Amino acid sequence: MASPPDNGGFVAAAYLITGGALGAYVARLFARATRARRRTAAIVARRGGPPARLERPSP
Amino acid sequence: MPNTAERAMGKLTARRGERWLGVLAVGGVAATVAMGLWVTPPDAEEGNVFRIIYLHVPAAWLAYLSFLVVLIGSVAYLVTKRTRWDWLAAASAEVGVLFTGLTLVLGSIWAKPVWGTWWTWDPRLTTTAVLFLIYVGYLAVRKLPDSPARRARWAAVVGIVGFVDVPIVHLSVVWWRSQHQAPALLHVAPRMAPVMAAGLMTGVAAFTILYAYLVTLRLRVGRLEDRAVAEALSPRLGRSAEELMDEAASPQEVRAHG
Amino acid sequence: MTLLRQSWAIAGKDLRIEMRGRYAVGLVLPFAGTLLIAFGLSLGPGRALLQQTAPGLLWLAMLFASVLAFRRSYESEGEDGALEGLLLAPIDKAAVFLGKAAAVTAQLLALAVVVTLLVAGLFGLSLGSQPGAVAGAFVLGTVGLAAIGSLFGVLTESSRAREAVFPLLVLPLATPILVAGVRATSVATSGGTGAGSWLGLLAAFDAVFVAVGTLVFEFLLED
Repeated sequence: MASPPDNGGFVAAAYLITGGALGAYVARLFARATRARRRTAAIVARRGGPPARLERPSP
Repeated sequence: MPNTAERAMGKLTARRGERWLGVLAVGGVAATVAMGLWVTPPDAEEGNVFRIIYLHVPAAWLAYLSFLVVLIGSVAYLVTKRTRWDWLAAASAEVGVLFTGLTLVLGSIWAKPVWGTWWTWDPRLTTTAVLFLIYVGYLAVRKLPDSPARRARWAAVVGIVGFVDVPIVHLSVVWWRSQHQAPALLHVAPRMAPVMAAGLMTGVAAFTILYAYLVTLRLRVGRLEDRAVAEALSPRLGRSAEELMDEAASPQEVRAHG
Repeated sequence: MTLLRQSWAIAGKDLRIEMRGRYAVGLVLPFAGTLLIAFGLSLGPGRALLQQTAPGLLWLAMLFASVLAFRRSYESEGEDGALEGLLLAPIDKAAVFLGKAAAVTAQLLALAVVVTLLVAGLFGLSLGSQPGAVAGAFVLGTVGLAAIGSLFGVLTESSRAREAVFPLLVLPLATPILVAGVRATSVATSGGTGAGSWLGLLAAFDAVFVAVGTLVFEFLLED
């Protein structure tokens, strides 16, 4: 039986795409986390400090 | 009600646990790659192309596992109305669509050198393609402009109906193929050497840990984003952000605070 | 059994609205016709290919037409707050699901007759050999389509963003109907055997989706 063709390019593409996709997704999640934390900090800072329990309107 | 210190502690351990999961996940994936590219020998018939299987099969396993978790989260949400189940379903769906897409791409890359064509209407791959579309529909429903509770309910229904549909889709596609006497395309099981089987099992185990890590990470991101929204709304609603998030997590307890 | 009677009442209401507005005739039918002409133009004019693909084109036309039919079915509920009225009425929510599904099944069956005749004429599909199996495929297939459409049709109720999601959801979920319907029709019209197992698959699909739909429908209506 003849030795099977090498097709190394396909194997490399498969592993690289897998790594790339997973890495990109994780990176995006971390970026989203950082952005959310920054947004929270900005909103709190604009209000002038850490969130105190706000006065509830009297019934 | 847990005080601020306890809540902070909870977040810290969650974060540390998440980091450990991440380390394990990376290790597992590295082990899979090592097995797939070096430890295992090339296949007798397909040569090195067979190595793609060590990624393709775990990815497919995750695609379906994720959808099972979406089902669990959806049913649990409709039954208990606790938002945490909805969050789980949403996170699992997002991770799931990633792995389903990856499964399709890897299957295609494997098919080209082996079958000479980018797409074979293989029953398993075709069902996975339909699964991908159902996932996409689920995520689209999650993005509909509406009240969060309504979105969550609709998404839960899609998650349940979709899951029930997939086996029927699979059966129909298997029969559809068999009518044309197509050869079985994934001949993995019968001729595998033990080391190849070990490679596959490593991959499945590693990817399962990876799945747990990604879902955990995605859940945390969701919490952080919800926190930002809660902080923004807090002054208008006259309640602190913590209270808003507590209410979101368990709506029935809101009445007690009145 | 009140559920059946309520469903019957809702089905009757929907069909009466349809007969007064003649939506199916005025819009869905011409749409199906347009699709068939488009199929013919893109695949023809050679008779052989058209004849071969006729069952597939037939069911594709039915599938896309049903999307249209459902949008109308729920559109009429959006007008004048009719859906709110239905929700307030002391009826089982599942009756809305079953009733609407029944009404659309009737409309789709009527559509199926016309589309089949058109396909027979335009693409040369022969109907002779096993008309029973073909009819069975249509009945079972339209029930299945109606179940999916009636369930997710709620999404089309108001805003346009929701409407766009509806076809995206329905078409992948309806894959078994498409596959089984086409195979059954193809086998039946070419004089082969085995239409029965495809009909069985359609029946199983219908049973599952009607049951699941009945169970989860109320969650879609909750506000």
